[in-house]
Amino acid sequence: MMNRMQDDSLGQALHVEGKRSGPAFSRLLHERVMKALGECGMEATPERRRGNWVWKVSVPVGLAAALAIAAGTWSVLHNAKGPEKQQSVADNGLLVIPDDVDDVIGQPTGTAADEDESLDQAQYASLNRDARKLVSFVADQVPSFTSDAQ
Amino acid sequence: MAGALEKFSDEELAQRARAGSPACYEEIVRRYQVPLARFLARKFPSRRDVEDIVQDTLVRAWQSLHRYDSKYAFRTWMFTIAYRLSVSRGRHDAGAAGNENLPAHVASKAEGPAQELEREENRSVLWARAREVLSEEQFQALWLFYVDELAAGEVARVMNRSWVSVKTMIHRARRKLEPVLGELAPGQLVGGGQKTGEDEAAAWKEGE
Repeated sequence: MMNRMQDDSLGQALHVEGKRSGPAFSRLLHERVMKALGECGMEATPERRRGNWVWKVSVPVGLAAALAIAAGTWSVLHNAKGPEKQQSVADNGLLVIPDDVDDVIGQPTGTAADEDESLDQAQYASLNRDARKLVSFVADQVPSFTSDAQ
Repeated sequence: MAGALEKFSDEELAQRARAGSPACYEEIVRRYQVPLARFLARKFPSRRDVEDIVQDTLVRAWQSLHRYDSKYAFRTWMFTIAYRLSVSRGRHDAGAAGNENLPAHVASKAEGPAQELEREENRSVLWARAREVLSEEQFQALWLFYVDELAAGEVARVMNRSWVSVKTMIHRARRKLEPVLGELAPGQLVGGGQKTGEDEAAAWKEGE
């Protein structure tokens, strides 16, 4: 068995001989490695390269989302009938805001139009409803105006 | 520039390289070329193979730098990459040469080296004998422990073995070298090494 001194000297010998042997520093190998690193994008650091991946993913996803939103908005705008109906109500002169606003306010909105026999109930039911909503909306605005005036 | 970077530890250089300093990584390349080549030269007789693996190791390390955990020694991490590449390359070469049954270092001796490495090893009597009497794993464990000064726990990490198995491996390797030590004349052994008995004890303890 080895004693402690022999053990130490073996360890020292292995260390020193190992350090002393083997290839020396090679400038050519260093340049070769640096060239290989340059080809792998040494200028772009790992952090930046990771950032590039974020951009590569987020930009297409963002563009796709923007296109989807634009397409959705276009679709909603072109398929919606509501604004057209309101427009037609105004164009056809079917919307009549009575001069006497106070009387209108006093009436239940549901019954005012029902009594108007000049409208074809079946054909213009939806227009009628829209008109009633508009009238009630306008009427809602009026009290504050009238109360201010008083 | 390189002179200014010499004062930084490997871990600091790695952090700076990761943050965007190619000069810091170049300093790492400069520091590790010789230790890696020396470590790999024990396994591969061809200088070209050694240089290829050194290059692969340094490039892989660069590409994976963001995965390096600074809790661990950078040296251990670098040698782990080199060791795994060398195992992979050794397996490939052994298959290609058709000498699968021989360990790489025995097979390489059978090829008739006449290489610069052999000349170096003739000067390094102890390691030349170690190469003859030790298994490849024992040889590499012993090399990493004594020459590259990794602690037993770090050697275990590099070789993907348990700390106990590495400790046993190194212990057995030393026992095998016992007769070699007796054969060598006192003048043939080089004294004054940096790794003393106390250092070794500390290294063992660090592994625990």
